[in-house]
Amino acid sequence: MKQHLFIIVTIVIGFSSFMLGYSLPPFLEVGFGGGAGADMAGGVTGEAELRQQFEELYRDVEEQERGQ
Amino acid sequence: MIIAVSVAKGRARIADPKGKQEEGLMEIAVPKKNIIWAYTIVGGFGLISVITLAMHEYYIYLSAYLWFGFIYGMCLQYGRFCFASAFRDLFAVGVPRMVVGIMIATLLFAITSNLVAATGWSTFHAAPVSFHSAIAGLIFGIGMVFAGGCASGSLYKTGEGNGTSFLVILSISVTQALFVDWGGILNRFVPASWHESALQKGLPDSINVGDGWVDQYLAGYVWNQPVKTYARSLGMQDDTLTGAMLGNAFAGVFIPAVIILTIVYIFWVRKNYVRKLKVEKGGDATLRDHLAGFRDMVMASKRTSIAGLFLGIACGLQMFVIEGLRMKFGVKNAGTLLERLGHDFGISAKGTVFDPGYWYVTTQEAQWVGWVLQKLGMNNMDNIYFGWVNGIPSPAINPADWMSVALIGGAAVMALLHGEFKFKAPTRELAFWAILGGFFMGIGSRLALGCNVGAFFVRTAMGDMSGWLFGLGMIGGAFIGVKIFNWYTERQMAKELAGLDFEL
Repeated sequence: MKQHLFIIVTIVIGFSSFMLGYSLPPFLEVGFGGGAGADMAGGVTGEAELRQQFEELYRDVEEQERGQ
Repeated sequence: MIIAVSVAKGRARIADPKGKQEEGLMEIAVPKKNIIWAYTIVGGFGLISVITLAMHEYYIYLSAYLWFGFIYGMCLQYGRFCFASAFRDLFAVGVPRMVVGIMIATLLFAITSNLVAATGWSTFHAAPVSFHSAIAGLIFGIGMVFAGGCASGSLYKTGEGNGTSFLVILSISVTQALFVDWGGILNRFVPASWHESALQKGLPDSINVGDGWVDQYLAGYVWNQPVKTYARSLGMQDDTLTGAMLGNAFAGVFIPAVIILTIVYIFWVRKNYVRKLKVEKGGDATLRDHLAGFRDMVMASKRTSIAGLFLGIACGLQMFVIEGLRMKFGVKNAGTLLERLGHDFGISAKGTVFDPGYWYVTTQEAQWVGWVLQKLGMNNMDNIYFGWVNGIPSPAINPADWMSVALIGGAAVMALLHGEFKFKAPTRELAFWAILGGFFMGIGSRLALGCNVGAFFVRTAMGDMSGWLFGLGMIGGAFIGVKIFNWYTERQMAKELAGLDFEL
């Protein structure tokens, strides 16, 4: 049983490592630490800010429609 | 007790299930068909990953969810990671092992996930904090005791072939999908202030925010609440090493976890430990003895703690992988990828689908049912939950759904390899409790914006203040659930005994 579990764990680690390797290049370009992720994401750090951006977008659209 | 054994690789072994549970590493032999099934499941997932990657590079995003879901399933099954069992064991029979294990796991998870947060690449977003989290936790706690499994526990038990757990999952899913869209008579219970506030949020016309209790609760109440983490409250940033490790992990998790563990030791462990010590050594227990007793209590939950550590590592890695893939493909949400692939059905009004980037359980299950109801002609895209935030993409291309299905698969593989897989159909009584418990968990999950994983385990570990509020409510709910359940079973037993005829 342990041998089979070991093989399966190896397969799982293999696939997961492939995913990790696949996603690594962008990090190497941008660098780790200091909230780099937030900057890279275009300054949108959270759901609340994303929501606010969309609220502003829809408000602008509504105002434009009203203006027409 | 000896379990039935067939021959694997020509060698027969016997095993005591109790010993196996304790040791974890004891060699056991399992039926050969179990091994074939385990490889078939892993092979199936592997094939899906390879074939979809060959179809288009973007599908690797879904495969990332799949493989991390698989790891979560393996960890959950190995650690028997179930919040319902934990609190039921504690309150009903005074066994603290699983509660202690979950606390240790939360602590270990906090260390790994906050390390990720410190790099600035975490996909986690804190939730609004107010007493609604505690109320939601209370409802959820009652439900999980009724159902005999929490949201994550029911998923891994489904992987073990447990039909009752599958019913629980189904009940949670249906309840959530209907609850988020339910207006009608429920609109009467919406305070006017919520209604007004919800209308002022400027949501698009496609979202009927003035109709539906959950919509008005979300836009009119929850969104108005502050988002707080321990780090920010202490004047630090979540994405710095000091803020993440000192503010969120130490102040937000370590200190409360030690307090809870101390309470568990004092009320549930100390008495027996002192009695045992008196028999073995004689005399009163010293502070040193109590510290040794505390250590023994923590060490007794090794299996759950190890599962928690690997869950934490996997969750942290998943955050890295998902964020890296988002950058690579130039997207902020999987909805954009699905649209680029031509799957535009069920994408939310703002172009998103549910894409947490870490371990999550209940929303994707609600999406299964939401998608089916939409296909059957019900409009499920005019509410905030589906129509504005999470969408209802086809389960076949829903990233978080891949995670849940793989989680069940991972748990199945572990159960098969440990000889613990067995199809168990629910009895009528168990089915009743499963549906009732799932109903309460579904309501609690939507009120808290997450379940025992999304609203407690992950949020607590990441220093989100709403996590402990949900946790306290959940503990209270579990206590009430155990009391109700005990009352019911005692009543049933009394009835059955009264119906027996004794001939003297």
